[in-house]
Amino acid sequence: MLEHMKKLLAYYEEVISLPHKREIALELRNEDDLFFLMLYSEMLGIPNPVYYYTLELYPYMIEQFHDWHLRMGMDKSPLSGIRCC
Amino acid sequence: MDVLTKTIIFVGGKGGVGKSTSAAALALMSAREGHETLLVSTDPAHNTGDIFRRKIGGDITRIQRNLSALEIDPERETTKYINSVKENIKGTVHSGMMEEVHRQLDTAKASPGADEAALFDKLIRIILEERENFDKIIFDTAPTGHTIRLLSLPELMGVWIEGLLAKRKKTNDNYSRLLNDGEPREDPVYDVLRERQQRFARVRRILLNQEETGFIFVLNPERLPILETEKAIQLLAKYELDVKTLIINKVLPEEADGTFFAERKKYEKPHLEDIRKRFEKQEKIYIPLFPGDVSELEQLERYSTYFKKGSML
Repeated sequence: MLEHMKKLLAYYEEVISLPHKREIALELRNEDDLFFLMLYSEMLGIPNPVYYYTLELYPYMIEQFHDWHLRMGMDKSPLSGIRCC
Repeated sequence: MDVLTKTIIFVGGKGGVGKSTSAAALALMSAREGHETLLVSTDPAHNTGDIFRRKIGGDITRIQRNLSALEIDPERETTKYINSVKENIKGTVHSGMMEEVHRQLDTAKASPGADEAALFDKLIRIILEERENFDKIIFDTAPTGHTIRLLSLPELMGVWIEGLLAKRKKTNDNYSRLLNDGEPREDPVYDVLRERQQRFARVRRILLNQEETGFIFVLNPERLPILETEKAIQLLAKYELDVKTLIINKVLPEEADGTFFAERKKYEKPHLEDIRKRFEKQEKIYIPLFPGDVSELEQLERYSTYFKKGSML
């Protein structure tokens, strides 16, 4: 009986936390997006003193770039250079 | 000249006052004294090769015993950097996108600040990596404004990157705590940035270490160079960089004769007085105006004898 109750409680907690998980993931993705913007602001015309040094991060960013600019509300890539669409 | 005991020496000053000559003479003297010496020109308008009457260029070139030189070529450094990024991208991007990415990177090459960043990057690499190979590294810098910017960059960049890092770390920590059951999030971006930031911090520590790094400013006994030098000293002080030595170049020698020079000397006198008053704290080395160009080795040697004499006035 106790076992049963424990299982039930665990299940209940999981159900409760699911929507929160999604919220958290969204929140964190927003943080990532802002970070992205800080790195590549130069491409949008906002100066970034370390722009040159962000180029080396490019290889790790490139895959996420397409999703990012779509989320930022730009249907087409803001970079004339990357035609990922 | 206490500054000669330092491992890294920056020679700055207004255009045309004799920076390159002073830096070359210093380097030559240091080499003659048996120190393995590297003379680095960071001025885009390189003079070092002209002074030693030979091609130097972007690779470390042996000039004579114990003396090597290098003229940093920002364009070449930028190309190298961009190529290494391209190399890294291979394999992460599907081939259809490759060409676009390359184009993007090539436009970055022409972006404002790219040259400066490349130059700065090379400077950092020399300071961090060539200290093992040389006893002394002497930097012949561009005119004052550039130099101050170059020397203040480690701090500026450091602050910026630290901000990025802090933000990234917070996000990563949250990811691992809230979504990954405490498993750390793999993040190459953070690692690369951190590596950068540590390099900036290391260079800044070296520049601020007065046991290791010295700053010399060259000026002439004229109004503008005096004012500019004073400003530069004040600015560098803001970054905790202490200019302890001044070279006052092209002082009219005693034996200059004729009415023209007598006239000229009258005009020079108050400026020398001004220099003495304004720069009380700095050690001052006076070098007379030479009758000809200082571009022969023996001339350079004669020039450097004044470093030993120190102040003659």
